[in-house]
Amino acid sequence: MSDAKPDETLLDVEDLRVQFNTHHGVVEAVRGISFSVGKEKVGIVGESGSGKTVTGRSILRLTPKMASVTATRINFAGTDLLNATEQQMCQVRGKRISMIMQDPKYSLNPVRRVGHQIGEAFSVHRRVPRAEVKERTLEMLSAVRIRDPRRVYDLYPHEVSGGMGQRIMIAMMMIPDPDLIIADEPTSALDVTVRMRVLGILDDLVAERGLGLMFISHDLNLVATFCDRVLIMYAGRIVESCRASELRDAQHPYTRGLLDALPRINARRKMLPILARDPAWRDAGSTL
Amino acid sequence: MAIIEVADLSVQFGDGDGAVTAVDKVSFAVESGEVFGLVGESGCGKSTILRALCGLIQSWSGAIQINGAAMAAKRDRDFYKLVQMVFQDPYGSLHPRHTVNTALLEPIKIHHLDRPRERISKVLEDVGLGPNFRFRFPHQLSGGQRQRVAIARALILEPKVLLLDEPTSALDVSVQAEILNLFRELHDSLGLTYILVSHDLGVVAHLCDRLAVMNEGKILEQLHIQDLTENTPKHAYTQELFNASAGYDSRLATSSAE
Repeated sequence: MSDAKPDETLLDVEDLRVQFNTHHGVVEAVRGISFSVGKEKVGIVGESGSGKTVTGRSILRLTPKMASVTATRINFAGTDLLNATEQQMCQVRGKRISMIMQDPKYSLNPVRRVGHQIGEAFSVHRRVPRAEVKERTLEMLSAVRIRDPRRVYDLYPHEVSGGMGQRIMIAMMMIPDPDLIIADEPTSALDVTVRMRVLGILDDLVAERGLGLMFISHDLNLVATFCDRVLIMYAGRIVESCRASELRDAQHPYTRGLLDALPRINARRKMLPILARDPAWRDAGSTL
Repeated sequence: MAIIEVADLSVQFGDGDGAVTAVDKVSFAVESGEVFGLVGESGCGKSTILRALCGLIQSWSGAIQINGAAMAAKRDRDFYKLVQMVFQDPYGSLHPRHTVNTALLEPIKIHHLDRPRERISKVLEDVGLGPNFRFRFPHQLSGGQRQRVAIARALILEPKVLLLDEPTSALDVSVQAEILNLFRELHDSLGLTYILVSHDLGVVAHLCDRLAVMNEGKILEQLHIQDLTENTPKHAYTQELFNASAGYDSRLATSSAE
């Protein structure tokens, strides 16, 4: 639960800006954010359109062509991602920074067995015999607590449940042994009890392997209980950052508004307070 | 008086060996003016019950009584003046090339109602949209505004019962709060009865008076909302849902292989 020490910093981003050049003019999705991620779980929360997904994608240069990404610095464990060639990016993507997407139904190839897909994530980065790839894949499947890895290896994506699909995604992202994982709403498509189990797996793997995790989510409760630190984004800016355990005492009116607007199980209110947006939030920087 | 009574409702999909029992002998009753919640995980049959109630599924067995009348598999036109449904995804439930006006006019035409213009302005006002929204297309509306239009469309026939199928789960929390408040206001001002299907215990606890917890097509238990807010459910599964809704807890997330 400690903030990253400078020597442990994996990812260091300064003044990141992302613009989309659309037919209707320029849309600023991310407007000058700076943050760093160490060997810890950093949550990025915000509502749809706040720029949290674009932030994750721009680090891996996965933004569409019409986007222009600028920054003063994007450093990842000694590599300058801002000026890296496409070839160098291929060495980073998947191998050193991997990404877990929201919905396994859309992220897995429907016509290939899941075992092949997990193995591919490994063999694409390393020249190893096929037998070893399979062995590693089976190990990884049991690491994400799949009881019968050999059976699951041969299944197609439509034959697995949502929770198992997300475990397969996690296995696929973990097998190249990355240093940093960007998880974009990894559990939003799952039921609450399944979500708990998948997060447990992710939590254990992050702790065992000493990884950094960027956890992008719209769910304040979840981030407050799962992560170590939280960045709150609004309209492309980080309006507040705090320790996850202190999120409920957050100061910024936007964060407070979001927390108040959540219906609570144990405290019934007749009406929920409506978030009144202050135009000043758009341009004010982080309060901390 | 119970406005909805369901006895031994079963719904089966497919036949022979491939048959799946989605809803298995479910019974419950909803009082007039009550807000009743159906809670459970995906695939537990909660939405299927709503669909059987409003006639979107016709192959069910058991008995459904609404407003004192036993329901047949097929519903007549008058039924829809009594019961209307609001769907989860406001992006999918509105016709993309119909204006708000066209969408709201359709039920009026089907039921040959008078004063269409007056009815449309009134219902738009009821759901908190001004008259200038009348000739907009869905793509010109935000998610919350679309859901308001979907609610307006359900209300235009002045029904007594609204069936709400995850009405806020596609919305951001701030917008969800606005829509939940709207449901509360409409309930109080129009004296509506709601059946709310949701997987979010927070939403259910906020809006409902009573709820039924479902798993694998069966109702495990029915609770008053105080039982939930004070966390005194009897069933272990309800307890598990309650704990999982509170956020992540590493002690509860311990190993379970799949």
